[in-house]
Amino acid sequence: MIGAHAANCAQWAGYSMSPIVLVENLTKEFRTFRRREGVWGALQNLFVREYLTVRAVDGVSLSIEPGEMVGYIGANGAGKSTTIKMLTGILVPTSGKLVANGFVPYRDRRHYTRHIGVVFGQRTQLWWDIAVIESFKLLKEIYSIPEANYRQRLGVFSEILGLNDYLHTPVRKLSLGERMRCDLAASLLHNPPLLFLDEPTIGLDVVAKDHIREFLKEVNRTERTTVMLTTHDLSDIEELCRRILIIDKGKILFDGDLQEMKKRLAKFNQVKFFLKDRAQVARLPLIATDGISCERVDELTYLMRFEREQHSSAEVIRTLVNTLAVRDILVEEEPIEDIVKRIYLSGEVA
Amino acid sequence: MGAGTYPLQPRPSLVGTSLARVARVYAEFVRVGFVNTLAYRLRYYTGIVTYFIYVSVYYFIWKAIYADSASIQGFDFGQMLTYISVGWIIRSFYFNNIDQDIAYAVMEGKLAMDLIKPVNPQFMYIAQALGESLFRLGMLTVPTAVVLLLVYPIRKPASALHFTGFFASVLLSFFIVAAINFAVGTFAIRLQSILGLLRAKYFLLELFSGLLIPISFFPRIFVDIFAVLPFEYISYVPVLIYLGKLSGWGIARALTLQVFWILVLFALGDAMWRWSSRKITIQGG
Amino acid sequence: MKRHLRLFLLYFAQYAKVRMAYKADFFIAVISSMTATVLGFGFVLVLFSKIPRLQDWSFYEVLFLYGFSLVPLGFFNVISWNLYEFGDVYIIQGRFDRILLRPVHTLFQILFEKFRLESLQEVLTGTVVIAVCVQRLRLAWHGADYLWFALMVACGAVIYVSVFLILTAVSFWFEDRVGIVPPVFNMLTFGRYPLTIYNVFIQFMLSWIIPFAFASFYPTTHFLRRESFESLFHLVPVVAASFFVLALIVWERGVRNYSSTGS
Repeated sequence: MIGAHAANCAQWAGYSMSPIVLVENLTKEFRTFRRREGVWGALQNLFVREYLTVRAVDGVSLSIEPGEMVGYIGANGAGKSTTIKMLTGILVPTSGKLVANGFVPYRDRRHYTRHIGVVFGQRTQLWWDIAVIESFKLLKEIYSIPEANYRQRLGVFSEILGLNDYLHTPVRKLSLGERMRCDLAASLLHNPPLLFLDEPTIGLDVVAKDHIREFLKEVNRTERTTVMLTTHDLSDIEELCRRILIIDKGKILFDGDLQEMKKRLAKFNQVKFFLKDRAQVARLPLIATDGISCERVDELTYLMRFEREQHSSAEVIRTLVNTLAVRDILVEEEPIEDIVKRIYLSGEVA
Repeated sequence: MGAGTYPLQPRPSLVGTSLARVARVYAEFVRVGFVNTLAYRLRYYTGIVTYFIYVSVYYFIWKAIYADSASIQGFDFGQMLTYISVGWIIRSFYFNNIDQDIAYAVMEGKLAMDLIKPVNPQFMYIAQALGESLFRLGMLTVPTAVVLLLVYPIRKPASALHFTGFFASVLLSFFIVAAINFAVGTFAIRLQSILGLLRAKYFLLELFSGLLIPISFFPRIFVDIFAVLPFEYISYVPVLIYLGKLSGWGIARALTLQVFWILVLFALGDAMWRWSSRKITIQGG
Repeated sequence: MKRHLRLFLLYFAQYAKVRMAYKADFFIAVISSMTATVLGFGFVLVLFSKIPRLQDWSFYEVLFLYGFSLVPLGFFNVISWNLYEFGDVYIIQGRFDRILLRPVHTLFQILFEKFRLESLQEVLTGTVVIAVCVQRLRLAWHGADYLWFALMVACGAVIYVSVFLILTAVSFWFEDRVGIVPPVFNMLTFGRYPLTIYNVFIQFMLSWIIPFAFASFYPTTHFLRRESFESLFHLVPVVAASFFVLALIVWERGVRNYSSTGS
């Protein structure tokens, strides 16, 4: 593992600032069984099962400072959710050390839950049949939130997230975006210092995503709430997090600054260009040589990709304008998705 | 059926669907139902014990009742024991949870998926239930029958003819129960909570099918009413055939009436599904 | 404690509000529930149209037994809704995660998140049936009887809750959509006949393995002044408390298992 986060180093060096989440060598193993197929398989499944042990999280260590916003990414089945479930006290680790906000989550679960907020993007924590505001009132009692604090926070949340329009609607009638806003508000009513979000923007439209990101930034700024979020949408992370953690096959592949990662791991540059007219298309093969790829975006828009070490952008552009009649040119960094995809595929960072 | 999404391959025509094709589609649902029983495996671990306890309890209740009379309503104790045992044994085959499955599908918002499949939902649910019942026949019904036969002096069927008639009749019972459950299940689409209704239906079937007590024990007026309802064809009639209390034309007549009721209930289920599913298409489930 | 009482009332009020929003629906539920109650007694009714007594029990004595079993059962049914769906909704669909994320005991949330309000009908029906039988059988209740009655109803409800909690907890180990609650629930009816008609094994089972007899038969014998079961009648609170403790232990173990397997 390279690129350990600066604060991370500080912790091991014994600096006074103490992390709010500290995880050492965390491992979780599951026993699953193989389902046999077919009619005969169904009969066999009833009586004999073949078990196999899967290590979903494998020796993960990390630490998070108060007030940080950390993006936690990985492919499906990489171990993201299992980590979050251990951090929130739902799952007991097979081995390893885990302290969050002064608690051992799985041991002190019931006390610990007062100090965290959790949102699962796929599932609501609100009561399905009752109005949103009634869910909030229940949560107020469940977390023993004082009346004044409750009112104040609800007021702020309603304003930023625009909840007022549907506070009196039953949850089951809300759209996904509306529901997610309510879920977020619900998870923060008791003002927890730690917030875990599992895929908070999954399936949302651009406006809703934006709303939610702005809200998270605001909460992080005003309350210094520490946020850890998993997502498939890397733009979430670019918007919100300075630090990124990449997990694959249960192991942390990368832990560090997002910009630094881009700088170090971006291998390609890309140049997007717009042709003057259709006649130019026939000449395209002339520039796609020597490790430079050229792909079509739309009729007149094309994208060249090349390794940074092999070619300089200036040289590539010079060849381009000399060969083709081009109306416009944009030089872009390699998208973070591509970098991450490469990390997943190779399974290593360097 | 992944075909049809790719333009190069010919689309399967729904208009020209042959009977064989339809049969194959529903046979597939039967297979899915058979294989899907893993979700209920506890039932198979505990099923035999449960049924043994049921029959034993009724054995003692009837023993107490027969303590001071040799024959009630034309049943002696041996016949009654056989009546109860065979009734519970065939119940382990014919029962199903179509009503509950639909209720859950509604709660989980999956019912809309049934609307977009190019199959008749009633037959789809029933085909799956049949697969499950066939699984149960081997894993629950037969073992339970063996255990009960070893423990209690249950009588043999009246004759080979009666046993054949009984066998056919039980198969038809399955379809009657399935059609009733489907019709009840469609209420789930309209109601907020259907579980109360399902419990009422459970007790109703238990009592009116003759599972707990032969229909002839009911007061006269009930006997007359039940004669024009489908319930007694679920358990009472098949077991009467087994006991030899119906014969020849009686069996033929009973089987015909069972088929009649299946057709009526299918039509009812279909009408109710149309009526209920309008709610999904209008209000979006 | 006070917080939990407040929470309970709030949960209850919320849920009642939801149900009352659909009046027709609730009405159908009440009717269905009453139908089920009456049909549940149908077997005995039909039977007594052909025979005068069941062993040495008269019709009204058997009816009393049925009525008495309804009252604690009604209370139990009101809070047991989630136990039915537990394996499916909470374990297979994973809603139990949400329960674990709240600072309230898991059982409290499971039992009080949903109420089967229509089952209060059973409490009422049972009470009326008992009142009729007390009169018909000329039992002449005094103050002590009412106190015993209240205590026995409470114990009965605790016994039902405990038994079904244990059975529900099985879902923590075995992933199964229906679990083993329904077949045992149907065995409740076995506690509604005089226990003496059964052989030793079934008597033992209904007393010490699935102690439904302690929730219906033994209390009833006391009220019917059948003195032969008086010692077992006095054991009712002990049995209720023991099974409740057992249920709590099994439940906690189940939760722990869930946390280690995350099934």
